[in-house]
Amino acid sequence: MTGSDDHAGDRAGASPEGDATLLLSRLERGEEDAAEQLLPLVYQQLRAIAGSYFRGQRSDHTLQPTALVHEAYLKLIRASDQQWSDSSHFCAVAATAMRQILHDHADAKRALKRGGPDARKADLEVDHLTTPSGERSVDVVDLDDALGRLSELDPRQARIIELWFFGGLPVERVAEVLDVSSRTVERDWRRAKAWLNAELAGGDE
Amino acid sequence: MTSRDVFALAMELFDELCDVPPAKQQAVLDARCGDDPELRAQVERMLKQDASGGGALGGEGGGAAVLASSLADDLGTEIPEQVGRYRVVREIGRGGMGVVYEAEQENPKRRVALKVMRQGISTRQLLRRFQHEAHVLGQLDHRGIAQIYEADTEALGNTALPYFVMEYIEGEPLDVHVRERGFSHRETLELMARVCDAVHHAHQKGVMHRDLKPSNVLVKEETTTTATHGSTLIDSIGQPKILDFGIARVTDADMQVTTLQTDVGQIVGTVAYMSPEQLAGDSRVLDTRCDVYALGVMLYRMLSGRLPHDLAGKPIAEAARVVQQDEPARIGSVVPPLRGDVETIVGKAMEKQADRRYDSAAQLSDDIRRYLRQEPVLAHPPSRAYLLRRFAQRNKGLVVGVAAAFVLLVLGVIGTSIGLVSALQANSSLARTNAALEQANEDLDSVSDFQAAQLSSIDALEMGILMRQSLLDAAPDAERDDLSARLQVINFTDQALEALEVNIFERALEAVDQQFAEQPLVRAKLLQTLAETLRTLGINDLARGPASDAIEAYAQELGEMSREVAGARQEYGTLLLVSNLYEDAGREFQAAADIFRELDGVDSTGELAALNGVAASYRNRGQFADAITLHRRVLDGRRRILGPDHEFTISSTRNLAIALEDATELEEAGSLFREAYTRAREAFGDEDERTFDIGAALASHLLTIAQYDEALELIERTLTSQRRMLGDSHPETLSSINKLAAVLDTIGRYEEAEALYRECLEGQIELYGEGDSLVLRSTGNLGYILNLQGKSEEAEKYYRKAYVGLQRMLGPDHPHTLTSAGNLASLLLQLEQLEESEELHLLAYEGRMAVLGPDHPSTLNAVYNMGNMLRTTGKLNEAEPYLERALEGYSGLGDDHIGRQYSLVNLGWLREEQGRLDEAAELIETALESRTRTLGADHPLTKTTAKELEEVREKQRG
Repeated sequence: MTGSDDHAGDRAGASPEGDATLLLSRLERGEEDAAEQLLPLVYQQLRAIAGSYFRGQRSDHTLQPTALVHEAYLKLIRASDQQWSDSSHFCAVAATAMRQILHDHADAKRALKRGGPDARKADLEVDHLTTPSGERSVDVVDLDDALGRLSELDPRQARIIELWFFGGLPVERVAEVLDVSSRTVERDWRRAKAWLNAELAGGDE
Repeated sequence: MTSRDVFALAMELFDELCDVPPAKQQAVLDARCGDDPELRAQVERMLKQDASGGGALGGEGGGAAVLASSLADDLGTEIPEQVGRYRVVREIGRGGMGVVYEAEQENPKRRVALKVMRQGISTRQLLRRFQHEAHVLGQLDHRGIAQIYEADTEALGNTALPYFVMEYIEGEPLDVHVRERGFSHRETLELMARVCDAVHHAHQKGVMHRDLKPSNVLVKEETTTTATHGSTLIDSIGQPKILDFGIARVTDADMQVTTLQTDVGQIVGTVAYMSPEQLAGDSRVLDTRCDVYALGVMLYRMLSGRLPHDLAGKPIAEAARVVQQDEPARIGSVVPPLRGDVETIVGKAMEKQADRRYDSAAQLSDDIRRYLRQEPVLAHPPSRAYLLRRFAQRNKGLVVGVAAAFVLLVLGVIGTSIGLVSALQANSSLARTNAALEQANEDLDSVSDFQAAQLSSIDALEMGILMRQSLLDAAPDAERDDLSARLQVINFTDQALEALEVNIFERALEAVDQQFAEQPLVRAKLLQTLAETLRTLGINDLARGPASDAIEAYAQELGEMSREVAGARQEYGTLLLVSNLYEDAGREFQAAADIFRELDGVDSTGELAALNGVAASYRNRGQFADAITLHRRVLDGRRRILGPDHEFTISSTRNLAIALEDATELEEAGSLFREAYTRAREAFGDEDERTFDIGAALASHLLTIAQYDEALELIERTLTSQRRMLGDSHPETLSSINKLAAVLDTIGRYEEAEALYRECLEGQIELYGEGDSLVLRSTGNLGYILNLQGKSEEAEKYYRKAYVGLQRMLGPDHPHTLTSAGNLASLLLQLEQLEESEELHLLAYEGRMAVLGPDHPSTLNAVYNMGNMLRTTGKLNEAEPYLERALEGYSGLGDDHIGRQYSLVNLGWLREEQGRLDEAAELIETALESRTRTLGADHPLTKTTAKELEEVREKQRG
């Protein structure tokens, strides 16, 4: 193991951090397959962090996607003292990973809906266990379905949503990643958002 | 139209319309959508969402939040039918580490909780370690810990899924329990103390929890059947049961390589309860105090309803920084009633530095319970005011008689006075007439007399003793000795007094001055009462201000020639007397006597009381003749006016006797002492403190006149009464034990004396601790009796301890310190440590001359010692005047005075050494006669003296 390991939360991980760092630097240089190889690592980190946030999270507080991605980045390279490079490339990978997590999770839920027994839960773990409420209560399956349809109808719009919604990238940076004009991203982003929201609002009409 | 077409058209339309005002949108939609309602609806929905700026995707936190909330459910969602030999009934909960099921065991038939961990164990080595740890956990057996019955693994693919089988507990989580039952702070604290007990049990078995939090503690309503009554009681607090003890360690620390996800999840989920050192991530430095920290946070949360740090929404690194660096709001600032002890206890448990926390969960629970019992908590460096406050709260009954009496006094007097004053003012036409003033004064008199009577029952000594005892009682057995050692340096009487001084009296003085600036008579009366109270408690310095202010205030309002001024002067005189300012005291008493005589005539009770004070000041200055004359006059007057059995008459009889004894008119002194004692026994009974007191004075007299048998009998009688009345360890009883020992050592019964001195010393240490001045004097006494028995090295140890202690406690010039210095000086002479001995001799001599005057018996003792020292070191000419002076002085105290005997012998040796053998023989012979008379022929001293006389005679002959 390399580097110091006494930073908060920096426990040894299943992912070989040397590889992650290497992959990240290859990613920065624009090597396509780096993103592909990095994805599973990011996936694992994000899934762990996101899952954990839930238990410490109150519905009236904000969890920013950037914070989540940032944390995953730090964990991957195991260097909390290193400057967050704010890499758009990494965000893009992260966004993809999150999209993937969402999809897998939705799949699991679909399976459950099909016939698994619905576990009745007692409040054993009630500490901080608050169901996110209000506008954030998106059904994961619905969201996954909607995103799936969107990427079929207009892959670029779907990708823009991923980068913004999961990766936390602002318009200019999305434009950078996708190598299109900001103007285009802005237009697609507004369209896609309106469309998805309309899709998800569904029966409320 | 395909959906793709609809989509494309909708997008186009949306682009066109999204920046158009809604009113104008309809026209465009009408025109462009034509007869396609599907398209139109689609666009309208999009526009609506766009305008609202919100929608499902517009929520705060974006995709991360959506993922987070949904992932919490993303654990194994299928319920297994069977795990090991347990049949799963239902899922009862899930957390970061695993899923908990209710399950049934066949044999024994019981309901269990089954916790299946999320992370598998993949290596043989880890499996062995898991089994070992599980075995340790099985050893935990405490009613506050959910029992672990079994730990095993269930094969799942190529890994083994660990699971724990635990006691199934029907209960609700700690925080829910506290909230839903509307627990008071006290109930919550008691419940938490029980949690601490359980944690401590595990710690003692070497198991840390490391993930303590409210959701890990279930509270079960406890039904207790008491054996004696067979009745069923429901404990209203409930029995907490801690879940998952040690599981964090089993599944985390040792297996962290494989449990990254669990680990991370856990960190964030419980970060609020994690100690700074835990968050620093170095598991090597963790010890049980990280659980103490968690208990502190739980206390904070349960009592205040919130967490000490707001960590919500913060990335882990930031959360860790906050916990490690930011000071949380003190709980008292969140919930003001928790200020004080609870705040201190919670604060100490949550200290960022582990070594500043409670060392153990047991200490935490002890302190919680001390608080609940209103005893002092140890979290504090105990300030005096704090100790007094705790003491007062705990001893409410006593408080009425003690601490709060002062408050009552001040508030009572002030309150009554305010009432009086306003009554006077309401009746304004009469307010300033003499009659009204007189009435007011009378009322005030009765009020403050009542208060003064209450005060006489206040005993700072007793209070100090109780304070100390309550501290020791509260300490756990194992730590009592240690605490006792630490308390030794504290003089509790002083603590009690100082606390009263600062908390009650100084404030009372301020209040009196401010409140009654406009009512000078009321103010004067209150000042005088306060002064008297302070003096009664020995807080003389503070008393002087109000005492003299009272005189001035009365004089200004009523003129110098008033009974009020006379009374105030008398009080001031008494104060000066006990402050050893005898001349000033005499002046005040005389002025008071003059006023009383002027107003009430000769020998009024007022004048007699004042003259008694004048006499006392004479006596203390060594002017015995004047003292005797005055005491005689007072006694005669009182016999005439009050009768011979009146308390004051008896007291005067005793006072005259003491003065006569001072002036060595021993015969009359003796008969008066006996008279006083007899009348006291009749008037007050054998078991009354006044009788004890006069008995003690008579006993001292009997010692002086060498009537040892009678003294012995008297003291033994007194002691028997006291042991029965007051108990063996009462201060007065101990004082009599000390006196009895003194008689016994004088008559040569050294071993009995030593045993009593030791009993006295032990009793006093028990009461006051080792640092107390009385205890130090008894320490010196023990040294003295050891020295008499020739154990001089042991004696030196005690003498030094006494001297060093008294210097610190009383100052170098105090008579007791000087006595101790003198004794040590004599012993060192014996041990031939001459330089130090000489220094101490001189110190004792000069000190006594300055403080007590040349005629005081103690000064004579120092004079004798100086002579002895100089003679012993061969300075015969320098020794001569001292020994001659000692003999002269002691001869004045009676032919058989013990000091005279010693002086005769010592001067005899000097003469012998000077070669003046005839004089030597005469002196020693006189001593021998006296000793034979008083001590008997068999007393060791008598025998020695006889032998010495023989030697001198031999020299004379040869």
